[in-house]
Amino acid sequence: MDNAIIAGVGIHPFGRFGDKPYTEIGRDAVSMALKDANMDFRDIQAAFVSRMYLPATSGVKTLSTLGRTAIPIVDVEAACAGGGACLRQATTAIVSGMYDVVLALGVEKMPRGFMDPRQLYDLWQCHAGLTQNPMYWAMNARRHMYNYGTTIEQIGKIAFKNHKNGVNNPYAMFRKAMTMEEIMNSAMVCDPIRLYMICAPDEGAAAIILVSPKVAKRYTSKPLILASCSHRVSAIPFYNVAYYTNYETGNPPITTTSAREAYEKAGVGPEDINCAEIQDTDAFCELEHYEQLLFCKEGEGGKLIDDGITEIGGRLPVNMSGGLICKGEPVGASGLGMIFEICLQLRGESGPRQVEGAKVGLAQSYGSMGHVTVTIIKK
Amino acid sequence: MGDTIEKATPKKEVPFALGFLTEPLIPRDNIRLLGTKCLDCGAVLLGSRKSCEACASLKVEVIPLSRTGQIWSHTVMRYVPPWPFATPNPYEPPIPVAWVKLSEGIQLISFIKCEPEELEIGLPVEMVIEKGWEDGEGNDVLMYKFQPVKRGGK
Repeated sequence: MDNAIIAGVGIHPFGRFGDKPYTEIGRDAVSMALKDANMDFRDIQAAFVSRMYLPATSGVKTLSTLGRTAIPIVDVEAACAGGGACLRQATTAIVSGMYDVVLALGVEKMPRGFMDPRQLYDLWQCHAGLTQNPMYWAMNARRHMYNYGTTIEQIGKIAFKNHKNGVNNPYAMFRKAMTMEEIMNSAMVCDPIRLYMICAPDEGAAAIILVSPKVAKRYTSKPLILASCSHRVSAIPFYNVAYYTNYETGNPPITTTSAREAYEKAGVGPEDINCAEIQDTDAFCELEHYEQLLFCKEGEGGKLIDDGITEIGGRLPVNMSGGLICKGEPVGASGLGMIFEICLQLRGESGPRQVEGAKVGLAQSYGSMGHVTVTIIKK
Repeated sequence: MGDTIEKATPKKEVPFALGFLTEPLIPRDNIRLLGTKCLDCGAVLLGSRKSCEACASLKVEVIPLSRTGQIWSHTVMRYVPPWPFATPNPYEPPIPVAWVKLSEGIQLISFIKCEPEELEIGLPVEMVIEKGWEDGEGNDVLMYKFQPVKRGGK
């Protein structure tokens, strides 16, 4: 089975855009990807659209602004992993031989303030008030600190790294570097996690156009190979948003299961990854994901940031884009935003945040109720 | 004069969700949480279920859960949670919350009735049932919480 080829990428910056409708935000990202792939909308044969906080048929409403071409359009939702899940649907459509040109779009326009908890939590959890997403991240961090001696300073350093990287990302919402003092003294949200260690909901879109190898040359002179795209939903236990019960079965973390599958399919190991964009809904989960993606041994995530391994210029740069901490998280678009950054890196088009000589990139997204996607792209 | 007199409807107590608390709800001290134990893999999870969520087996039994356990991890919410929360009193941060592990091995999310400084991993805790909030029909909704086990005698 041949790999799908990435022929075009596009993005609408992540941030807040007042009354700009989501249909226009999505359209802008698609238009950029179409131009990048030297095609027009009539070349698209099928489309998958990832969104979570938009109404039904948002995919159709967005793409019909480009034209109604009688193609199948399916909305995809997998919480914060929706973008990766959407890409996987598009990949399957190509490698199955069913289509030659498929669009994967992620678009979101999140309401201001807290996300409506009824989207993620049962009604009794809402009425009781057990619905702060950060409470899960905080308890994961606390347990990891107890098990391995991880410190809040190490978590703060990850936030510091990402805030620093975001300065050079024109598509990010927050582009201001912060000092460690500002981060470590920011308002406590759920002990021990503080405000500047957490991402914010916002708006944005990212679009990836996949083609089959047999038509790739027609559309792109800088093809990238979608070497693998894994999507898994966690078994028990998973200590994350929004579940209220667990049991220690000994199952590995689902990110590890998904990563192993992606590495094997792509024929690479973690040591071959040159750059990565991974889920940092809060700075601790980036640290935890270092371990679960097998970038280091269990418990040694703190050492990785202490040693500067994941800085741009380190052995395995992570979140060169500034991560979700700087981009914010437009839920449906986020995973595809990661893919967009990896593609730019592999093409050498990332400007001041470029990882020199990047040839293999990894993107990982993690969503509520145990969704995870791991994607590996090769030059 | 034609004033109508409204008859008072008696207040009911209802569980926070169906399938989570043993019945009857009186006396309150007898109430236990319900869990589902899998006869194939042994996992125990909160609430009455028809399948084992851990292994997909259909061989499950609903059991009352023990009242005591330990804090497995903890945090303190420093902000009022988002609407629609419905506690009767103003929701006053700081609000301690924990993953509690009971003696059957089941883990569950719970409020902890203690000062934030008392929270620590391994702290022995015991369940209490109290009024959590009022529902749309004016009934008292009973909710579980955990609190540190009182040391020594009275």
